[in-house]
Amino acid sequence: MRLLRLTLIAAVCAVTVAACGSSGSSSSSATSSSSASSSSSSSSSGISLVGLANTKPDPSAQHFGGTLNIISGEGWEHLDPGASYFQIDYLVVYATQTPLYTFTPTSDTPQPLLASGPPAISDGGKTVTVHIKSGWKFSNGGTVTSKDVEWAFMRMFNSNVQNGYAAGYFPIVGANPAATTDAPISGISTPNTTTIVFHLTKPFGPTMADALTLPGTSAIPYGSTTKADKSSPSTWDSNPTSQVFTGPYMIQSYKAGQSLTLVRNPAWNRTLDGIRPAYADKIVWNAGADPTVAARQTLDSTNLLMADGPPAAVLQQAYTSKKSQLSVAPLGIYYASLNTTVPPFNNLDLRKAAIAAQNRSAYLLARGGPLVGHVATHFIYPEVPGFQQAGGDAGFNQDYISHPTGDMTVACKYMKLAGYPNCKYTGGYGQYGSVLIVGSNIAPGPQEMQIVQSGLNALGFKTTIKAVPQQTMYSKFCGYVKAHVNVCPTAGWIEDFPDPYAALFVPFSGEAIVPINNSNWPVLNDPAVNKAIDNAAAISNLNARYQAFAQADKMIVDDAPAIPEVWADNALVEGSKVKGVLDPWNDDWNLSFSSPS
Amino acid sequence: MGRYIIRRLLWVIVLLIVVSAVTFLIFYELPSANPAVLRAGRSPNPALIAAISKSLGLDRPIYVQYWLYIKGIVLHFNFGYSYQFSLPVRTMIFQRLPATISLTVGAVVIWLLIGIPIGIISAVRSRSVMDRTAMGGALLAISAPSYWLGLVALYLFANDIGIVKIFDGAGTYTGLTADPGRWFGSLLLPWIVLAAAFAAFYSRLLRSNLIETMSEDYIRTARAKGLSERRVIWHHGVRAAITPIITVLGLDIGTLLGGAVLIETVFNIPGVGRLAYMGIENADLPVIQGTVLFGAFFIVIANLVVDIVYAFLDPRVRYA
Repeated sequence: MRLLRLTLIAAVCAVTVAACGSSGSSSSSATSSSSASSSSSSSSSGISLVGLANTKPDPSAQHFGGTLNIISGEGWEHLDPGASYFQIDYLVVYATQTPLYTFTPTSDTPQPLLASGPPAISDGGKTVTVHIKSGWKFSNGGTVTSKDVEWAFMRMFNSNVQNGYAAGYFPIVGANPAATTDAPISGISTPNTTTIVFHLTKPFGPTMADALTLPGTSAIPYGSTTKADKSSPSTWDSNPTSQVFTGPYMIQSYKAGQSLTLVRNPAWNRTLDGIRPAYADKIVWNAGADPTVAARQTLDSTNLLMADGPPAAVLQQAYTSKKSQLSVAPLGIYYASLNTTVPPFNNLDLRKAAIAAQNRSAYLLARGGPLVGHVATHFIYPEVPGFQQAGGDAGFNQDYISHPTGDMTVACKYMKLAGYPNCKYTGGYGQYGSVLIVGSNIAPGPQEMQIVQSGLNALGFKTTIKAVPQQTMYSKFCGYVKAHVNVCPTAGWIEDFPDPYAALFVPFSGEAIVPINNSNWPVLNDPAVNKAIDNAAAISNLNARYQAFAQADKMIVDDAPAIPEVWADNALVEGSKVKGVLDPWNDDWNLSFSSPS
Repeated sequence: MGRYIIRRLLWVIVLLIVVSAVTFLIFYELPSANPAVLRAGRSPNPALIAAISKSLGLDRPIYVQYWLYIKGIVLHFNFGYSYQFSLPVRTMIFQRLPATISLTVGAVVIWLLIGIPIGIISAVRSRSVMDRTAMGGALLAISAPSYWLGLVALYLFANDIGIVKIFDGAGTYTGLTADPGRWFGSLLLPWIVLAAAFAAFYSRLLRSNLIETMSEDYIRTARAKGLSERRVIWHHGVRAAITPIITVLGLDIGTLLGGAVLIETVFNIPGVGRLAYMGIENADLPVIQGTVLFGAFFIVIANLVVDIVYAFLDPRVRYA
């Protein structure tokens, strides 16, 4: 459930569009969520990928030893695995901790990591049983048991730890997301030292199996954080060097927002792990860099990995002259939400008219052109399983979505259906007296607001634009249900794990609506959609599951709660000799698979 | 003078209280985002928001909140916890203060070493080719935004991405106690970039003051008494002309100690300015408040020091 950080993608760069080549109509789409850029000759937007960096693991060519150097503009927010919920944080946490399962750079199904095998789902999907490996050690020498995994779950539901996803992905009997202590959860039992059983409130087992890849499931020594977790926020996050580690690395030094050093965890057992090679002896990460400078430093280096995306101008330079140091991979989706609860967009036909009138190609240009993605047609995006079942690039071919540059004839059709025979809106508005459009005040927010305004004005809507800081947008406007904002054009989403549930539930299910910091910005609450998502979440068979979610995606598109803007790609750069390996689901480096050479 | 200093110190306290009150009002009563919501993270349930509001005291009247905040600062020197990093703001500021002090002190030395001689020479040889060249260069340096200048300097001279690889690049800052040589090397280019505009401004300021001073009657008298030109310039001219420089210097030092945001950002120097920038980027209200208060503190103290030094430099100034 991660809102897409707007700073990941390049700023306005119309020049880049021209230099990048064709504007890219649909071409080959990713058929698997794990396909990185080098697996096909062109990206899903038509940009040539020939010559780009190979970001898949290559054990025959990678070497053990040495120091892996990372640079980034962003710093880390939470390195406590119970609190960690940010793309950059995941790089560290997945290298230093060990969740029950993991997605690897080449798999899009969960692989057992701390667990010894796949979870057993029973009782109609309401019971999940996991066996963990024997003999796994903490960095302090203790042995990991099922009680330590139970403690991790207890912490996740302690509001002082501030976990952002526990309540949504772990509907465990007795779990209280407002708890202020590490309280026992009645729905978790540990019949022996290597078995943990979860009893769920609903048939959610197949989806929870994917969610067991999240870092909060990493074992923490039972009771070790009691004192720290009594504070709000938990102080266990304040000094990551004092944590206990189960991964191939441990945090040797840490300065918030500045630097981080990882060294090998002597208690980690490569054979028992079975998945992570952990090539580097040491990982040194310097954060807080200016993105332009950091990107140039990385491209001019032999040994740097840049953990966040380069700015537009450097991206263009890299694509032109240093392709072998550039990778491009699917990231997430951007869309403009239309509030379905207040006038005028509480009318379905008016929403369809609004979508039809939009020049959705303009959103792509505002973000930097075909190198940063391509025009979206539905809400399961290329890297998420179920994309092909949902029609791939073409989607479901609804007439109001079919034309990327907009179609006023179709828009007029829906205006007439809504009761406006002149194709111009003359009806009422909500509390603001016009359509209120609220977006981020950093690029491309202002441009996107103007694009959506232009389309709406063409249909006769009165519009007002309000540009605000991003956090304000989330907490006081678009994410605050009572604000009743009509349009939020800078909505974005990246899935927490490669499963369509993680792509659709929080942004579009009525069950996910919360009054504050809400992420279902259209406030869509269609019982049929809610039920379709819930039913799909209970399906174990992957093909049937993806088909069911594709159907839910179609139902969402039919509800027209948002203008699909861009299926975003993310670019990363690396030094000329370092071997960066990408985690496609997180679209960032996997430090345990990357190597200095 | 003693009474003057005590009175000024009392005013410092009053000023800081006013700054803290205004900052508090802006960030807590007129915030760009709900502090409890910022703390709560993604998709929080209402019970969680209420619990955090209670723990932060946000459910209390504003004057109670402010009293608790001031009490925390005065009694415990507690500036609260960063929303983003969950660390005490005080710890974060003090961790970064050495870097900011290093950057400021070095830049001050450089801009004084450059600005004052150029100002004097330009004044003494006003309207010469050298003067026009120096003042033209000064105008360029003042006009160039420091952020742009920093980037250009890196692209020209940094040893990783530069064309002429002579200085350490961005992100190489090391603490003085960790490695003095590397500390010096990592700050050389940032010092020069930061000093450029200030040196230009100081040279222009000193030039105009000195030209005016050198036309005074007592200067003519000094020459008539047979003093050497060098003595006339240094002991009589510069001494009088430099007092405004002291005033401005104090203010500039105070401002920079609050954080040279742009230079720290371009060169990735982990100073207070960079911290303030990150706080603004992430709506981390306690960090923003803490850095604003620190900046205000340095500025008011710098003002006081400047006024005291001014009294010693200029015997005509006496404080009641």
